[in-house]
Amino acid sequence: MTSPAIRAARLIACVAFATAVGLNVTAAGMARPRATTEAPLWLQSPDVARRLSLSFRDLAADVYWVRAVVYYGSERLAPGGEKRYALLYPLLDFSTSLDQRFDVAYSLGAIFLSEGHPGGPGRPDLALQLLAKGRRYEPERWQYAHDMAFVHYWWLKDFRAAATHFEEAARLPAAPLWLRTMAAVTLAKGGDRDAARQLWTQLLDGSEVDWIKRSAVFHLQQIRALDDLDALRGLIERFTARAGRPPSSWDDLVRAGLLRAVPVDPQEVPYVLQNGAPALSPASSLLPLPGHEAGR
Amino acid sequence: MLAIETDALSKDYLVGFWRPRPYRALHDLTLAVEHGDIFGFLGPNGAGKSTAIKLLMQLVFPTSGQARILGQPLGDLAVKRRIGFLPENPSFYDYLSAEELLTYFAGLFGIPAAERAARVASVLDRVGLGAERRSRLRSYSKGMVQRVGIAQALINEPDVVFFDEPMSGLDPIGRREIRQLMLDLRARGTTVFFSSHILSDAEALCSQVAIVAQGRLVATGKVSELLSEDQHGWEVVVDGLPATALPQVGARARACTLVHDGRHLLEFAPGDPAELVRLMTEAGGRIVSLHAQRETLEAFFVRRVAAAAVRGAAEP
Amino acid sequence: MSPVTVGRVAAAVYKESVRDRVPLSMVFFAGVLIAASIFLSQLSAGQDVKIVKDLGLATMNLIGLLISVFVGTGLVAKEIERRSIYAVLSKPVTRSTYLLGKYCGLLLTLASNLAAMAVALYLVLGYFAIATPLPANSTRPPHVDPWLLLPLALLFVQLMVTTAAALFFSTFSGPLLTVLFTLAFWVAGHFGGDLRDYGRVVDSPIAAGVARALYYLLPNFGGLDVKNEVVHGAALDAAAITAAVAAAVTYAVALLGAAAAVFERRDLK
Repeated sequence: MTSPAIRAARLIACVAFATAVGLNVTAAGMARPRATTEAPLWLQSPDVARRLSLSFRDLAADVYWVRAVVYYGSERLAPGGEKRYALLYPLLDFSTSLDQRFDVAYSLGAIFLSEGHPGGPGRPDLALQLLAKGRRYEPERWQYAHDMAFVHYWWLKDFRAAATHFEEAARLPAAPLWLRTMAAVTLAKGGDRDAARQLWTQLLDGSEVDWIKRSAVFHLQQIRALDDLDALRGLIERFTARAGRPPSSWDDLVRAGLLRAVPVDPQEVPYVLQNGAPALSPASSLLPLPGHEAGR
Repeated sequence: MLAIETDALSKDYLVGFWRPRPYRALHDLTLAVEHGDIFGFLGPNGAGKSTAIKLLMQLVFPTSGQARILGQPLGDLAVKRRIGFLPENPSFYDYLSAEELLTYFAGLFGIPAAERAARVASVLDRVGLGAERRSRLRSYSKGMVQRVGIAQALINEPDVVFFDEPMSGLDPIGRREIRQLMLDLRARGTTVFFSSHILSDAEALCSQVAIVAQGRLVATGKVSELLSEDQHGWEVVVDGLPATALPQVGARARACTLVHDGRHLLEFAPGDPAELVRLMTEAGGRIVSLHAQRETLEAFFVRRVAAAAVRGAAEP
Repeated sequence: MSPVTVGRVAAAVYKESVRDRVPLSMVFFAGVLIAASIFLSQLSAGQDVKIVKDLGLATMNLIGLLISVFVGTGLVAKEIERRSIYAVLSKPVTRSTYLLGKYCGLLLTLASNLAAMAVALYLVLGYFAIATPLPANSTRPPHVDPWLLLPLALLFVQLMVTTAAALFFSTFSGPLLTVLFTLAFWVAGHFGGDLRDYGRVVDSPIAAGVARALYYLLPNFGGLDVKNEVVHGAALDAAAITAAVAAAVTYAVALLGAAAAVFERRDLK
């Protein structure tokens, strides 16, 4: 037995709920133009956050960490060329101030921060600042020194500083043996692609964090693309020497027996031939390649 | 047409959190209350009295059975206009005064604004609430809240009122006042349905009673009928019975007690009281009082409840 | 359902809550806090008016939420617990009418409390307008900015939904659970934006789908929060705000309908 009042109430509830969801979808479709102002940081100082979070400090650190990751992800995938990332460092700073041993936040945060333009914020300086903070709280942790060395090596091209940090890392307890060789390799072959390859491979094998692994795979693919381009350049030289003219397309090289098929980059996008020189397709997500490794 | 009738009204509550099981709070209650009666709904605490009243007020809904008030099914707004209800241990809004509360309720009954103030003042006078009617309810004693509760049940000059434990929280003077109020209501033709676990209230007020125990109706009827079957003797107080007549009279009595010099209390088996009077006068005594010796409602109640408990235990 | 009866119930709620010291003291506290921002803003290196506005709007947001949750819970859940509801429902009032009256009464209370706090905020801003007027060629929004009423109005819309949720939850749970559910509901409403972006940062399509579904099913208070834009004098998207308001209002209606459907048959033990 259901009274008319209840039936009416149920009907209202269902119709209104469906309408609300529909409007919600509509409103979501009208994505507000990215505000000229950033989403607010409610608290302006990590110290204040530390005091306010009382006994929920670790949880608060996690909340800030999640905000940092979501923020990074949504900025990176947002349409439009220029990425702002203005809140990335503050969010990471809050997170690591609330939980000073939050190692993933330091390491992964440093990778997020130093990622170059246009995809990333291009702030290796802030990455180093974050890692230095981690080292202040946990001086014995070799990973932070290693990560600093890495930022110096890969993003700042400061091989001497990189070697120094590798050495520091190697001296710390529990440091793996390969760190010692790493310092030597860095000094001897500053800017060397093999050294870079070795670094990224270590990062790939040594990390348990998917994001770090993904980043390592990506950079290893870039290095392989650089190798590929060198090899292709050699083939083009050989073709030019043999045919007396530069190739007009990859087919020339295939017909000449120098290539088996149209060459593709590590992400399976074909390379292009521009004015007799090989290059990544503009469609390739590996762009832009790190520039300085162009020649050996 | 009856004022209140219920037909096999039953209510199960679900008890238990993880595996709720039905618990039968009221079992097949069938009642009929005539217009203009004061009807006592009696039973110990937890017998199902409040459940029955809440069912009638539609605060809870029956598992089975039905009920009518003033001939209409429950929930009819037109009927709600003609009834009043005092909940058990009522509680209202802390920050309103009695006057404001009653004005609010008068508004809900659609009493015109012009009449409201006079109506409110008159019911508050009837329950004996003085100047404190203007202060907030949070400062009231339990007895004062009870009086406000009775006042709000009468604000619409109802044809039927339901009082759930109207005497609770009141001092002896308050109880007497409320008794008088209920008698006044009956005099005006209002049907009063009240629940109580105190039997003296019912003996003094009711023409009809129903007794419930453990969710079941154990007896219903006129107080006099329910009690006449239990009339079991006479009690006579006599003065100046000569010592010589005493053995003869005492032989007829079940018991004989000397109260104080010259006054005796005698108990006799049921029989014609005229004969007893003759016996006393012939023996030379002077009758001070003659009482029918009957079971009190209290004793009746205890016996019926015990019987119900035995029945309840026998059939799980 | 008679509008007159709804009005009478609402008026009683309003009268009672205005006298209850808890919401009153919260409003008073908000006033003090807003006034205190005069001193706080001395320390802010030229950002004084921005800080006063931020603090004022944030305080109103918080106090409004607290009143909506705690008083909203008291409306029905506490009234059931204290059994003061018995007498009211024995009057010629249907349960739906009673619920709607309670709801309107609380909205009235919220509106008047927000208005009181807004007056306090504008007084402080007025002080700044006299003490440190903006330079003539400033591109900043004026100190006494009528646009500040927009985030306040949208806050009221948010509170309409939150109050409806408090009412809905209190039709089937006790006061404490209602407070918890309502707060969780409010937090969820504010995580809306994060839920939408969640799909971009996780690999699992199931998790992303669930997040997206939740994003659509829960009210999205993010779209109703324009504090930042207004304080900075940034452009506003009228269509998006209108859609968000429409969604919120229908959401409140849905919650009220559901509350009535549950409450009509509830046993009030």
